[in-house]
Amino acid sequence: MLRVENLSKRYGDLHALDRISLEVPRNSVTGIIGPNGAGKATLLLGLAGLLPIDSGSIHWGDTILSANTRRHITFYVEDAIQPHALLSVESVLRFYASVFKREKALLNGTIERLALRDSLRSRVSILSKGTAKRFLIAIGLLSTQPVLMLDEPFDGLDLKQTLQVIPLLREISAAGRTLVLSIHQLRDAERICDRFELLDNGRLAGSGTLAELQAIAGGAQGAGLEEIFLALT
Amino acid sequence: MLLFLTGPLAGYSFIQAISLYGEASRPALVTPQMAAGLNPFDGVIIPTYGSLYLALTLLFPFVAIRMISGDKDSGALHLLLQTPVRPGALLASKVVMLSFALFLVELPGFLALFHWRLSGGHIYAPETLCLLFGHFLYGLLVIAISLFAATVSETASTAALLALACTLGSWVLDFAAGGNSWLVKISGLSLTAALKPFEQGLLQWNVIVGIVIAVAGLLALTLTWWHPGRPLAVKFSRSAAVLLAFIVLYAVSHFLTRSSDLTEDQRHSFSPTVNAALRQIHEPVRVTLYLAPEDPRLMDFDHSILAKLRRVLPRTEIVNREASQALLFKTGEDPNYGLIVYEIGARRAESRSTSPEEVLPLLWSLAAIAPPGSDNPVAYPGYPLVVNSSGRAEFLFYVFWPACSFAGWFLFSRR
Repeated sequence: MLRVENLSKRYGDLHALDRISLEVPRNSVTGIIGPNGAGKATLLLGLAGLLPIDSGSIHWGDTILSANTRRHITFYVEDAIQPHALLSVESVLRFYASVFKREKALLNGTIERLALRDSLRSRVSILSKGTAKRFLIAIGLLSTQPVLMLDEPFDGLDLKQTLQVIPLLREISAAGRTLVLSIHQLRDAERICDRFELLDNGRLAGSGTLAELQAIAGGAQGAGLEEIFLALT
Repeated sequence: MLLFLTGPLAGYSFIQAISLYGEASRPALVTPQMAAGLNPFDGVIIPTYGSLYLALTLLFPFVAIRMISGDKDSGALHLLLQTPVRPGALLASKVVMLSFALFLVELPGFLALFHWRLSGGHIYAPETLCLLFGHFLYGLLVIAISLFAATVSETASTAALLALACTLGSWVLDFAAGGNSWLVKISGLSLTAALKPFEQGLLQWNVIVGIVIAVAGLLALTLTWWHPGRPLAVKFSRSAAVLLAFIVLYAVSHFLTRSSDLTEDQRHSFSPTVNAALRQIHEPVRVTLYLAPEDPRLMDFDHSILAKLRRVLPRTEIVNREASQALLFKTGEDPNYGLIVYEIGARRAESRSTSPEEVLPLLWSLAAIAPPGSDNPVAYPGYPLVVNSSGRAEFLFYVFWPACSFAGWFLFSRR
């Protein structure tokens, strides 16, 4: 289990994260839900050790993760990035497959499942939004850390593509990886996530499965994530 | 773009240099006594590599900065830092790639050397290799400065300003150093000063080790500041440790006094018999000068006596009483002006001469050493040459090189 205790981060007077505590069970799909500026990216950057946190601790099982050791446990793929923009999709994916010592079959399988075969020779800089997102997910899937964190994994994907990616991520989770997804499209979050962490203005507004959140919000059975989020924030 | 430019840049310098060298060589071909003054290292090779020095100083930082800033801007840095590859190994791989780019930037220089040799020009390998080694070290220094600038800057443009402030700031320091003694000391740290001995065919261990320490220090600072997840307090404390280590090691490197004169005419050395005689002096030698820094006699004395003396007797103490005084205000006022005082142990002698023929006998007398016999060194023959390239060099540098660079860029962009 990935456990976060009292994680705080300030930018001057702004509390980007205010004593966040949460638990992410192994092999689950957890959604970090919140509006823009809620602190989702800050939380994930902190969990990945890519942003210094002011206070708090992060645990993997019984082990406290220092900033240096977090990269062995978590892998975070940010939204809207164009890594190695001048290189071809194929060479970038081959590079990440090789540094993570992934077998060729897995690389090819990832390329097929994310429908990237036709874009392999294209430069990263010229990819369409949807292809770029699938390319970023592919990099994430090639990583080997037990916790994979994806920022807005469905942003830029059309409905058909989203419905192709969701089962793939589910398979990855079932195969032994823990997924933490930052999602602002609540319908997509409901489709894939087992648990939700609701963030608002750097504070944790709610935490649990959809049923648990419905109970906390005091809403009627069957209330959607949107209603729950509005009720809790 | 950098490769596209370096060919014509080096080519222009090379073509101008061989043209001027040819003009100077014409009378020497008729009068062989004049040939001794014609040294292709000074006349052709140094000017050609001078243009590459400009490219390394002004353009190469942009290439190096892009390696770090590009990763930061594109988001690749965050991904790379999460791979199993250690940040040190990632940085080392970037330095290796930039060293290869450095080799490509220096390629027009090799082309010029090749052309010069094909035209019948003389190349003395040791001094030429010394220059190439100096350029390699200088390039590494530019790489290290640029990578550090890119790491601590938010944007590539800020990094470029920072890197150019270091490289161009060296030029300002060199100019400003003129007569001010403490500025002279600081200017010893300038990048130009680092390259100068290599351009003179001198391999000085303290300079080599100093550059290596500076490169290692800057790369250590880059590594410290590269990781965005490291708290500021940790970055500052590690930087302080690196700076402290740099200062200590740099100070220690000054005790490395060994140097090798790799010039063909051995211009930085006395003759072997004079060197052997000087090595018999075991007491400390002190030379006190009364010459303003801009006095041509001082430059002549430094070149013909002091620099050579320091190479043989590194413990020689040299004091210039006029170092902080301007020549304009001192000449005629100070009766001691122009005097040079030599002290070996308790013995003392004075002279106003800057010629080795008069100074060396003074030293033999002070040290109570028998003057060494003449070893009849082989006179430097000189290598006059008039090259009629009939447009070959122009084609090579102005057409062939840019065409190859363009073709390379085109092929890469289609990948």
